[in-house]
Amino acid sequence: MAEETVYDFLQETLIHEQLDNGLSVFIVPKPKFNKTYATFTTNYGSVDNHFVPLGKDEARQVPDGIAHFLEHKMFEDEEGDVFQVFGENGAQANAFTSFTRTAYLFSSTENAMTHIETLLNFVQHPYFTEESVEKEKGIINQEIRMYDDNPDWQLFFGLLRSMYEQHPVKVDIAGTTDSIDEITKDDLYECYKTFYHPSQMALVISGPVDTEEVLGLIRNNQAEKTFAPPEDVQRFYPEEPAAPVEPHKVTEMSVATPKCLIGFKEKDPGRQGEALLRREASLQIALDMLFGPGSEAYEALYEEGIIDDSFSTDYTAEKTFGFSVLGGDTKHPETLKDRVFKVFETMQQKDFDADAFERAKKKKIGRFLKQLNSPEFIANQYTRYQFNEMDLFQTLPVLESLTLEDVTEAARDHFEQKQAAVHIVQREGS
Amino acid sequence: MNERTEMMNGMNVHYVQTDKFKTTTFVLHARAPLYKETAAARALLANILKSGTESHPGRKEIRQFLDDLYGASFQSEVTKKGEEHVMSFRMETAADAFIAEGGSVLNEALTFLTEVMFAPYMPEDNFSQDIFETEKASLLQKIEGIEDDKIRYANVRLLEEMCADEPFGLHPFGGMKQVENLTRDDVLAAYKDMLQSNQFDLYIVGSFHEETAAKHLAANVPAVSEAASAAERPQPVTPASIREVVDEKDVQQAKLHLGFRIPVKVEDELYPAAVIANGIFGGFPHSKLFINVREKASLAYYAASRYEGHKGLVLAMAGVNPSDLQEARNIIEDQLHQLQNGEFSEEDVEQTKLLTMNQLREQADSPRGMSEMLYNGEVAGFKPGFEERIAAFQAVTKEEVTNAANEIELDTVYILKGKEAD
Repeated sequence: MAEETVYDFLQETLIHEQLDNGLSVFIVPKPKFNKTYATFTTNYGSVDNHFVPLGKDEARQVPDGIAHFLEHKMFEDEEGDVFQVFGENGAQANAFTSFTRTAYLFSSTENAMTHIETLLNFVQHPYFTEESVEKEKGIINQEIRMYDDNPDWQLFFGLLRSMYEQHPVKVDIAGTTDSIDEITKDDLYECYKTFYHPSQMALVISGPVDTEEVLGLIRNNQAEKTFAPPEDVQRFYPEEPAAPVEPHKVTEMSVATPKCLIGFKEKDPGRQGEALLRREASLQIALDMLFGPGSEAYEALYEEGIIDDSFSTDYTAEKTFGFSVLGGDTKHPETLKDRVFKVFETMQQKDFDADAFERAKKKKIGRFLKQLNSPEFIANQYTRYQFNEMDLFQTLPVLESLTLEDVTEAARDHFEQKQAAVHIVQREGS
Repeated sequence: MNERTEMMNGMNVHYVQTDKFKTTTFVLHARAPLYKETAAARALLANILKSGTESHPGRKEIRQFLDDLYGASFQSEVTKKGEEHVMSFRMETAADAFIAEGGSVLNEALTFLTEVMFAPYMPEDNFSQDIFETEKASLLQKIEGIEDDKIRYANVRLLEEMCADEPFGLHPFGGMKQVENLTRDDVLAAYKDMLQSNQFDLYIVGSFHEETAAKHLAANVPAVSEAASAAERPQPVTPASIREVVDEKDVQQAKLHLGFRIPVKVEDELYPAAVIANGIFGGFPHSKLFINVREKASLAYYAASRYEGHKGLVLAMAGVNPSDLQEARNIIEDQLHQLQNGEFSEEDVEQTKLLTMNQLREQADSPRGMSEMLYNGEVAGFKPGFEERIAAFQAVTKEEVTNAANEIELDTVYILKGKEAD
């Protein structure tokens, strides 16, 4: 049975139902919107490359980039291209693969029921041939090449490789030209069977839909299909040292202005649920107080011409890894690095300003409201939160309850010099 | 969409009431014809204006004010719409309904935004030297950085070459040289000129008290000229012969960008058909370019086209192996010929119409999309209602699509590729 939760302050309602086959369905009605946006997501991404395939006894390592490859190939079936089916009824479809998730989605202002059914059906119907797998390699090779030429992408993944020695988060999501060359249709089927079981997946729908009608359609659609009984997939991640492997690295590439990215690696990831929600909010608030526009450091660095408005900060955490990054374009990468470290060093001793803390909290609440304008944000983030046992709509109460002590403690724990790595991308000879 | 427009001291104020959103959005545009002589100064001006006002004389003061205003966001942007040069200041705040204790941010937001434009920080009757220097360096770095995003860079270079003798060939930031040569007085002159000759449009999108806003604006906006100075629109250019330009850089993937002319603009009768023609050509994943360059020939990851309705251009692009450049170009040109010969189905037309109408309706689901759609109409001097726009696409026939396609003509082929590649 579906359960309904009303979030009064946010003026949002959430309907949740877990079907008999294990599929979790979430609906966030947006009656005043034109568009319906839905994501059908599996808890499987580029880092899940070592596991016991469904029905087998032994673990195996699969080629890098396979989750992403599978995402590309799902759009084709015996009849042809699924984009066509969506398009004929007025929907735009897409998909993306991240470190930990593969999501299939559509967006449309009419025939939502038809599209929901198409989405369920195509993701639950794998069809791969040797020929189509070979053909896809040419396309994905060009995708990899495109990222090879993108300095910001190289900056980011270069930093991950400096931070992580073993963990597959350091590998490009699309894999490499060599690794995707190894992929066969049988590999794809094996990954599909293991990770696309309904119990591994979440369907989130946001838009002007009739909840009962949608739930009825999903229940019927799923009842007509048979699935193996749900099984927990055994996934393996290598032992990862706490500290980064390479604290300072310079990569030469043709860029107009050098780029500098500084990362802090979580020494002890593994938080889930409210612990993760609090960690994430605390560190984002700390980063905003220390380096957000309006902070002392940001303004000084900007005025001195060390950073420009490409400078940004971010914190990412999932079950098996976590890190913060900050940086951007800079003519003085070494100076930027020194100054950033100086700020963190001071932070270890000096207390945060209480007014700045209240401002940062208020700002985060304002930004959250803004994000809730977007059905895309709701569906994508809701899924991510769900897979990490968090509730997106609990963000506000958690924010309200955070104290300056919580933030200080998290920041002093996370931003330790020995957890830091720096990656600079600059022109040859500069 | 519910839009009411009134003239307020020379500025158009557009009230767009909707209770869809949890925020109120404010967008203030100033537009003038795009000229080589003024683009750089105006671009720098926008960056200086966003950095200090009379009441908030620096970036830090502005940021703290915004943070206190429930984390309001605020950005400036300089773009071109056809041959018009547009400075935009955007602000988004939590809607009054979500603000504790029945407070309201409407007046504060409006005061701030109008101050940005009409009461900048001017110690000693000119902009601050510090802000000027900082923002100049930052703008130069931004211009320099364009070449790091190869798709964007190829697009900028294509337009530079293709529209070398037209304002549209200019980047809205102006060139490196022009920005380097700017003095503080040049920017001050650009500011004075803006107050006298630009057209100002303010959009407020959300659920707010209209009378309060109107009263507040009447008291705070100085009289500005209402000289709606629509740029003199250059006559459509017909390509005499196809130009080919090759740039070499340190890249692995080659970028193939084809620039086509189409003498059909937003306000023209054939416009809806031209949108559908481009949609069938390269606007969607069911389009000819995606199917043929990517799916059938496996040559590219992206292969798409874009229609610049304010100028009358169709731009097609793909990223391919250097050795596949000719093949990709042949396919793209061949697909256009098929479109021109009517070699596409009624289903293609219907599907593309559906998706185009879908896009339009989706645009109305974000505050930014809403205000952009309305402002685009304002700039083109063509303002059909929302349902009217939808109906115009609905009415497009296959024959009209073929006619529109036949107006498309190749002008310039731009290639960016690696140095040692052949």
